[in-house]
Amino acid sequence: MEDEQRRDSHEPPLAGAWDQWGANREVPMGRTGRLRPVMSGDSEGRITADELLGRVARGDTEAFAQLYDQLSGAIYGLVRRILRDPAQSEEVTQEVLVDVWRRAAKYDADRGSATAWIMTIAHRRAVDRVRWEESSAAREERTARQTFAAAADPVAEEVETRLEHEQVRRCLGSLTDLQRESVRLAYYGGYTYPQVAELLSIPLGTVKTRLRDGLIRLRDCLGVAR
Amino acid sequence: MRPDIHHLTGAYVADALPPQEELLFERHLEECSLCAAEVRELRETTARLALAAAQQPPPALRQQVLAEIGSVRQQPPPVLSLPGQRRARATWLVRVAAVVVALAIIAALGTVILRQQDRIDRLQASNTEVTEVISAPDAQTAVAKTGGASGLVVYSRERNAAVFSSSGLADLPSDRIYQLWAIGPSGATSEGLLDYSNGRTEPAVAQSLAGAQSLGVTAEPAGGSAAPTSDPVLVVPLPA
Repeated sequence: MEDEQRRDSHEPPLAGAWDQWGANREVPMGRTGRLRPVMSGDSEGRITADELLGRVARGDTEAFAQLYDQLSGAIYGLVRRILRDPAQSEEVTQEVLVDVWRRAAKYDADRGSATAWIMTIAHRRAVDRVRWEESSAAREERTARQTFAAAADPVAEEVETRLEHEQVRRCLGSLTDLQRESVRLAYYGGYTYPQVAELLSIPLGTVKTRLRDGLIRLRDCLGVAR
Repeated sequence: MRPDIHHLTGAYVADALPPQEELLFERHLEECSLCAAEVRELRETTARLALAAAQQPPPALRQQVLAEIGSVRQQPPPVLSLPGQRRARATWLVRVAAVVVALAIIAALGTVILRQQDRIDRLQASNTEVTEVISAPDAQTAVAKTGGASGLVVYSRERNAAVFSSSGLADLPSDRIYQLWAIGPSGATSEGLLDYSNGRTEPAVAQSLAGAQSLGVTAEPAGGSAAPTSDPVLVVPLPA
């Protein structure tokens, strides 16, 4: 019964989804040379994801609920962008969140922010799901190339229209076309770099380089580090 | 090792490396602190891309997730930290507690330190073998998933060896260990015990694979078994 309710509400309302991210619009420029947690400097006095995750590690379910409220939208949005299918995306989002609960004590603040840790788990899970499905599908039919070509345009388009985060949008705009396309297809599209090379008809080495220098340029533009 | 391996940081944080290259890069990452620092920074960057993609999940999901964690046990924090892996923001109290716990563990299992050293030695010894198999010209990859666990096999028929690694396996009680088996029509042959931490097993080399059709993992009593005593928790067929 609960299952059916869930299927009815698959299409999420987009309007207002950004309100809860308001605190992220002002991103502090790095000055000290240390990495800054993505969620730090909350102007509304909200508890940071790093602090919440520390409490979650000690079994605090209330902190987990707050963490859910802060990050479930980003997890779901990312997973959904990669998988497309709403039911699968919901399933993977749930797996990711339960995984965060299970592994909270393994989080090491020396190795990055809690948000980055959680998004790394989310991206990996979504991509694992994609690769898994492709590997079994690939055995049945060898039309991968066509599938990639067909999927390419909608991915780029969706990113274009739904990227509401002004700063990220602006910074993506500062990349070269090849950098932007490589980052989009790999990160939002869940493609491997050889697949990206195929889609963009560029050499493998070029994709690797564009992914790296594209992300470095994004990093500098967003003031994430340095 | 290829000269441009440093340039893989971007593809790595985007999870865009094919399994073999990912394995090679993670190996490189352990030795390259510059790469590790860059990976950290780029992960903060891709996290921003994730935040920018946020969408409201179905409202019912919140209750489902909160209900599910009520029946999921959390993993313990790492206590015996490896050299160079300083626990963040540890207060003196935590440090003292860690030492007390460590002493208790050492007292209980005098072999822990020895085994740790043994593990490092084995890792170093297997490092070359792993790289040799992975970079063999005829190396083929297979992935398989059982439950929440996924396994990766890189198999070289020419070398009659395969590298096995996995993620998503559950933590075991301290008296159990994961063991790797080569499985064929005539039964299962032990390929040794797996080093498990944080849901992953270290890449292990399986040898003498004549007749084997797949590699499988079982949970066995500490020390391992001569023959599997339980059903496999993960099975990966060898690539044909």
